[in-house]
Amino acid sequence: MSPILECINLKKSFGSKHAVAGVNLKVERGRIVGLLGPNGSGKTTIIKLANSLLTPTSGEILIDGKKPGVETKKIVSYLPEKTYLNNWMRVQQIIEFFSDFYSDFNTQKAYDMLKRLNLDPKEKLKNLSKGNREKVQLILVMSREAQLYLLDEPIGGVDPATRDYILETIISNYSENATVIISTHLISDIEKILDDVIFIKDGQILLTSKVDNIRDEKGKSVDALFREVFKC
Amino acid sequence: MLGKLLKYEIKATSRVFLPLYSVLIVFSIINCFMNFNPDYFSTSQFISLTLYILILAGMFVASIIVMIQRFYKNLLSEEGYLMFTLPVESWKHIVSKLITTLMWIVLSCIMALLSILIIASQGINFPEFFADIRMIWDTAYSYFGASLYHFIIQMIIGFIVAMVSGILLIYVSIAIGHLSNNHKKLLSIGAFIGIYTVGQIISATLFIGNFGHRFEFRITQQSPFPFTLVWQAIGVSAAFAAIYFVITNIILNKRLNLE
Amino acid sequence: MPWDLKSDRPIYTQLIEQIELKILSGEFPPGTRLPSVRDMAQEASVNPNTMQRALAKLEEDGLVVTHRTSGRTITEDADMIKQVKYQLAEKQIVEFIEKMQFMGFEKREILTLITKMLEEMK
Repeated sequence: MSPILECINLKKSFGSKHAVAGVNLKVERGRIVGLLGPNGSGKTTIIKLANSLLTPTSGEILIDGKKPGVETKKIVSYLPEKTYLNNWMRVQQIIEFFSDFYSDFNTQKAYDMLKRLNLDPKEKLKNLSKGNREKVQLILVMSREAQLYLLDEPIGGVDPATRDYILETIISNYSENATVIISTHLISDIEKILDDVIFIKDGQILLTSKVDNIRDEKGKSVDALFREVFKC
Repeated sequence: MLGKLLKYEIKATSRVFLPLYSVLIVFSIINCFMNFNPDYFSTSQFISLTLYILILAGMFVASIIVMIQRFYKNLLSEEGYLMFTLPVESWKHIVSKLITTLMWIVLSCIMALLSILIIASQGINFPEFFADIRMIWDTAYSYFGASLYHFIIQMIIGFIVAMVSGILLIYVSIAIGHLSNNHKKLLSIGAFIGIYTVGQIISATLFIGNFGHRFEFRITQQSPFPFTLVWQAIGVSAAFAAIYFVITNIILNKRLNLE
Repeated sequence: MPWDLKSDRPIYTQLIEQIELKILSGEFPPGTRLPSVRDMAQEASVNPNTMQRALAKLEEDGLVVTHRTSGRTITEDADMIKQVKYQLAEKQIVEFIEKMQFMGFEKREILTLITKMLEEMK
C-alpha cells in the first residue's frame, strides 16, 4: 500500500518567506506520528497543504498516492488550530452537517463523546466557552472513520483532564489502516502514544525517527531530545 | 452534494430573510388599514408609510449585504476551514451560493409586489383591476402579436442573466481581493470597479461598433421589436457571467490562502 | 496497579517489565486471559503498536501464549514463570550489589547488612 502521506520536494513560499523549504517525507499507515517543531516552523503549512487549503509553490504532496482534492478530502479528517465552526448552529446541527457531508461520520460515537464530556447537544455554538468549543471540534474530527487524521495543536487549549481524554480517544480510535499526525509543542504529554516523530525547523525536516529508537539509542525522552535540538 | 450545500445555504440565510419578510407583510397589513387619502397625510400615516418603505428598501439592501457576507465570511475567512475541507468541488460552493442569492432576490421581488397589493387592496375594486390587466395584455398583444410570449420569456431570461452576472461580478471581485495579503477589501472594490467599467466599455463597443450597423434606431408603431439585439445583449452578459465564474473558480481552486 | 512509564526509556521494554511483574505478583495469574491489545493499550495510555510489540516479545520469551481462536493468555507453564522470576531477581540483585560496591561497601558488609535488614523487616 502506498504511504498515506508523501511529500516530494515540497515547497511553499509566501512572498519572500519560505514556510516550507523543500520537504521530503513519507508517512505510513497505522502510525501515530508527532510533527514537532517551534512556532513558525512550517507544521501548520504542511497540514494545510495536505488539505488543499493552500497550493504548493513547487513540489508535490500526495495523500494515499493522490493529489489533494475531493477524493482525498473524503479520507482526511482535519482539526485546525483555530475555531472554524459557524456560530449560528447548535451542536446537534453541526453534527448533522458533518454526517450529511462525510459518509464515514459516526453519529452515535459523536453523541457518546458529547455525553462523556458533559456537553449539551442543544447548545448554540456561539454560546459555548472556548474550551467547550474546542471539545466539540475535536469530537467532530474524531467521530469520523478517516484514514488520515491531521490534528493541529489538539491539546494546547484544554485542561489536563480533557488532555488525557483526548489522548485516550486517539488511542481508542487507532486502526491499522489509519494514521494520526499530531502537530504540537507539548511533547512530554503525548510522547508516550507516539510511534514516530518528525522534527521540523524553518520549513525543513531535521530528523525523522521511530520514538523507541530515540529512547534506545540516545537514552533520552523525545522531549529531552527536542529541547536539545531546538535549543535557543 | 450540491443539494446539501443548497440546503445549508438556505438554512443559514433564511434566518435573515424570513423575519424580514414577516415584518414586511405585517407593515403592509398595517398600512392597508390606514385609509390613505392622497391629499392629506396624518403624522402617524406618514411614519407608518415611511417605515414601510424603509423595510422594503431594507429587504433589497439585505439581499446584497447577505450575498457579499456569505461569500466572504463563509468561504474566505475562518469558516473556510470548514467549507473547503468538505469533499466537494469548489464550483459547487459558488453555484450553491449563486442559486440561493438568486432565489432570495426573486422572492424579495415577489414579496414586494405582494406587499404593494396588500396595501392597495383597500382601495381596489378587484373586477375592475383584473379588467385593467386584461386591457394591458390586449394592448401588448396587439403590438407584439404572437411574439408576446417571446418577449415575456426574453425579459425573464434577461433578468435572470443580468442578476447572475451581477452576483458573479461581486463574487469574482471578492475572490480577486482575496489574492492580496494586506489589502483585500481595497483590492476587491478596485476589482469590482475595474471589471464593471471594462465590461461596460466592451458591451458599448460591441453594440455601437458591430450590431448597431444592422439596426435602425427608429421605433414606430410598425417597426418590429429588436428581439435579436436583446438576445445578443443577453448573450454578452451571459459570456461575462461565465468568465467571472471561471476566474472565481480558478482562484478558489488554485490560489486559496486561508489565514 | 497503575502503569508507571517513563519517557526516557523505550516504552515497550517498560511494558514488558511491568507485565512480567504483574504475572509474578499474581495480578495476572497463570492461564489468565489477557484483554485485547487495544484495551490494554488504552488502559496503559500507550500506542497500540507499542503494546503489540511488548506482547510479541513476551510471546517470544514464552510468557504469553496466543491461541488461534481465543486470544492471548498467560502461560500455565509454572517452570517458565519460575525461571523468569529468578532471572528478574538475579537482575535486581546484581544491580543492587553493583550499586553498593560503587558506594564503597565490601561483599561481606553487604551480606551482613542484608541479613540485618531482613530481620528488621519481619
